[in-house]
Amino acid sequence: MKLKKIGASILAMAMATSMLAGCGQSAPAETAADTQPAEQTEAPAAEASATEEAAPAEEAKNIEATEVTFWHAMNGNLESVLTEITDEFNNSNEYGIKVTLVNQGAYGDLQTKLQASAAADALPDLAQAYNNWLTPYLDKIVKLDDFVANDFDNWDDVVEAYRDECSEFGFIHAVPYNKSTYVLFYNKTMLDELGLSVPETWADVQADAKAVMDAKNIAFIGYDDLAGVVEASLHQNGANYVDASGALFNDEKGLETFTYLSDLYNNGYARLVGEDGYFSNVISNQQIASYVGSSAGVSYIKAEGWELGVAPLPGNVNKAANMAGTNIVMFAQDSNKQLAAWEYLKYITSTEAMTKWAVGTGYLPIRQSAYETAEYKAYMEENVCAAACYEQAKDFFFSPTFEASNDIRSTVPSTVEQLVYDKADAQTWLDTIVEAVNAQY
Amino acid sequence: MDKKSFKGYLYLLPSIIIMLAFTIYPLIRAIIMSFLGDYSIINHGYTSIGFENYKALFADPDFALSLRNTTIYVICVVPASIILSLIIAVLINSCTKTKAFFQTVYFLPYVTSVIAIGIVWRWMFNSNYGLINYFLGLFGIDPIPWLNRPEYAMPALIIFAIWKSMAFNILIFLAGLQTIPEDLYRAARIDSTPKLRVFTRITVPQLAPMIVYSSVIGMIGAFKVYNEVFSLFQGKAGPANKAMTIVYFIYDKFYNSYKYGVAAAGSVVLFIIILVMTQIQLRVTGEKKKK
Amino acid sequence: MDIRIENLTKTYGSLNAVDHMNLRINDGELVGLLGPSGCGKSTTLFMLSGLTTPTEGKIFFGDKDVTSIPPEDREIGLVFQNYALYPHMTVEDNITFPLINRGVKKAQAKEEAFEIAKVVKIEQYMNRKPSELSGGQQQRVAIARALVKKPQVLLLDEPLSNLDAKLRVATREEIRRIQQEVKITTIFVTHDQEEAMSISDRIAVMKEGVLQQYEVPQTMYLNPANEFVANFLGTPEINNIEVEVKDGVISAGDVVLRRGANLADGHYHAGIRPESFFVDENGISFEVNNLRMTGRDLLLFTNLGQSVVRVLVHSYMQVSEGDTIKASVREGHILVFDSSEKLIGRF
Repeated sequence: MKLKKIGASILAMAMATSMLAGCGQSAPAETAADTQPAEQTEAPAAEASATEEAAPAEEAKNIEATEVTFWHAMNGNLESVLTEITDEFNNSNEYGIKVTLVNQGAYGDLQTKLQASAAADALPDLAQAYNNWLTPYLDKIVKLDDFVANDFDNWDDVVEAYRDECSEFGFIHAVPYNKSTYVLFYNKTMLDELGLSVPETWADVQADAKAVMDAKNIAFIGYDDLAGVVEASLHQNGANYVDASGALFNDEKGLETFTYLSDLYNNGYARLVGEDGYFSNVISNQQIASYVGSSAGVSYIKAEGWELGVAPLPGNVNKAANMAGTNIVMFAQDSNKQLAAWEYLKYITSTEAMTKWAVGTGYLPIRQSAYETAEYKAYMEENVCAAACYEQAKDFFFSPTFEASNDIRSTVPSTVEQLVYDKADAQTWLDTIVEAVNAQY
Repeated sequence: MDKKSFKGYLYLLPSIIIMLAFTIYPLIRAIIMSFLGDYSIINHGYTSIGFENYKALFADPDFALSLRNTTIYVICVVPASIILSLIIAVLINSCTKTKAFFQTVYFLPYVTSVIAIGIVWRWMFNSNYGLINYFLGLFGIDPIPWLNRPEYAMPALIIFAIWKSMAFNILIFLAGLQTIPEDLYRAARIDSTPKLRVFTRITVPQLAPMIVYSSVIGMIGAFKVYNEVFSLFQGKAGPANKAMTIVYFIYDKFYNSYKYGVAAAGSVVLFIIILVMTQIQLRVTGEKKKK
Repeated sequence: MDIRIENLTKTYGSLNAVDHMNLRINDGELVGLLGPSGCGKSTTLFMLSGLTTPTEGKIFFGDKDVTSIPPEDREIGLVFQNYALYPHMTVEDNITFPLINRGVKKAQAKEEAFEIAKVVKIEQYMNRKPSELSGGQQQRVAIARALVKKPQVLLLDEPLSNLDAKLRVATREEIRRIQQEVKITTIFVTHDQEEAMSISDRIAVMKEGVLQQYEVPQTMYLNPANEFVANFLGTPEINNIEVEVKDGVISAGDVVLRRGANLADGHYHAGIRPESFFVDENGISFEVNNLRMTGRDLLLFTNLGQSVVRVLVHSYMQVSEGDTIKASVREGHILVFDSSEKLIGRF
């Protein structure tokens, strides 16, 4: 009997406490999640937290020695290059700032950890992040507009698409860093053997694909990112993708796009990756002639006994190339840490350090000036991947972030897969994908 | 409270605190969260209180799919695993000389990383050069695209899961078999009992407590399946996500879609399902033990 | 069914658990295999059942050599020391189990089970589970299960050792009664000599795998084949004394026990049972050093030569410590053994 009483009162206390916690500060309040649309210039309750612009710029910067934590998801060689550059900064900066790198594993892990720390109010000073990760905790991000305006070496030198991406929420929320793009990897030896040229248009793709199928009975092309290929193909056909209210491609241009894609798959010219996991495996086994993947994944291709070629994505009405890669976001609340973190960001995005980063990792320089250094030019001579990326730099588009973005990103691939399995026709593709996208709103 | 009881509670206090903090409190929070519309774990705000999340949950075709998949999974994996484990445990137990060796071998899956197991099984299921299709080919069966087509995703997952769950069950049953008095088998021999009858009338009834335990624990674990899906399909939930399970759905809603309230609602639903199923199971088998 | 054992041997490593045993049991006899722990009696029983295979030797049931026949085909019933009842089945199911296994139809099996249950007197417990029965009742169920298939031979492994003292006496009478009623050749194993003595037709005493003596109980009691048997049977234990024989005079120390014994001169081991003394005015003087009263009996401790000797008298006798009594040994009750411990004669 007594135990029941005690037990009941403990439970009651727990409930009471949690109700208090749940009802928290901002009872029915708008959460950051609701206020997405890129058009809005005002970020909402974001004011609350300390987004103080510290007194920046030229005056004898009063920065005390401090530690800055930087969470990233760079592994292997990428991590070594980042570490090298960071060590250089740590050893050379005059303020005694020490940047500590924390490797959180893969992107998925980093996203999860950031979410959890945001909830626990224990965010790091800096972190890599995709835009669509940030929607739940936008108000915890430090606005960088004043830093950029007063203390950055030529923001206009940064590639335009990257600048747009970093201002998506109505303020500069990040600096771009490890950027890549989707390119067309192809088996040069196979194409040469069959006397085929590198496809530059959709028509080229179809023609080359038929030739390869007839000669070798294998698929011609594959796409690592099915959501990405839908978006890119729509842009390549001059159609729009989505906005804050829903799908924008339920029209003739959209239908044309899906005619192209569905034909490729239904004829066997394009295939799903299936149990092979990644197309780098498939192409390494010479089971496919080409595939569209991130330039950052070039090192996974094993070109043994054949030569690898890299080309910009084929286009139709336009050329359009997906951007990939994260930007670096600042969460530090303390004004001194903010200054310290900004010093680091300036350093690593400087032309010199950026060139070193790009050459070392294969990521793309974020600055035009970096592209033009002798070092990078020489690198592009030898590196077909870098050359192809540079060629399509003017065709970059960035994928805007809406509340439904994450859901769209996860639902489109499985929707496309099912359409392929069902050998659906173009109209079905259009209808199904439109429906799937709109269902996320 | 008398001194003896007080001491008892004192010793229990650490466990109670841990249980309150990591089990009871999160459970209550999850239940509360499930009734808060548009809940954000970052700033704890919400827009409404009510069944909004549950409505969204049951309107979501993915949730219906995950319910279906998980139910099929439980029905297929748990009984099959127990029956096979029972047979294998009895077989291992009867080879007195090589018993220790086989015990170790059959227990290895339990101590092996599920990711590593997934890699091996992915290779075995490969439609072109996998071991399974090779053996099927010996019988004239065409290669099956186990991991490439949605309709084979669940069968592949179930086969994989049965194999993996046998290890623990075999261990439990082997331990149980040791406790059966040898004299019962001798008496059965004198009574001219055919081998099968020995198994069904003596071994299985003696193992009844173990079997009940295994099936309850197994069922609870099966409803929460996630690792096996993640491991076999490399992070996805099968081709076209057709092998989605409830926990996968919850995780996805929470970490990818940021729909915390819906995820909480999903976990509450899962909790209720498991609670009900466990009660049913205990009633059905407990009846016999209540005497 | 009579049973013949020829040269039966069971060796474990270098140890002979049973060593070339020969025995013949008549149809309908109740024979006790008696001996201390490790003497090979249970091993012998299990070889008779077929659960243990002999290293050497043969077993015959009647004229049939059953040595290589498996237990299920030997038509035997076996009652284990801990009964080995199937715990999750009712008494009825336990008893019908062997019949069902042999293809007997359920209805008939139930009838036969009920019949044998009446014989062992547990017919009112047919629907209980073993855990709901007392030790004695469980044992009777085990006997019923063994007998229901109408075997030729009934084997019991230490049937009474799990029961309390009082129950033992009652139960051994039951076993005897049942055995007589069913008229089945029965062999049981025990380490309790009183138990063996009270119900066996014949007793086989074993020591370290070797058969010591095979005889009707009372005969064996009065004429033990060797010192071991003499010591093993009898409560209180026999008195072991050293005696000298000279010119037919048997004496222990300077006390003369017997004259005119037809025995060669020499030094011998002898045994005199405590009850073999009788109060005799013309007998030997004994000083009572100690005494112990147990209800009906009075045990007097005294000395005979170098040995301590116990004398058993009725508790009615008025004796106190320090008293001197006069007693003699009954004729023929001094057992004399030779140097190989065999009985030479009774004097």
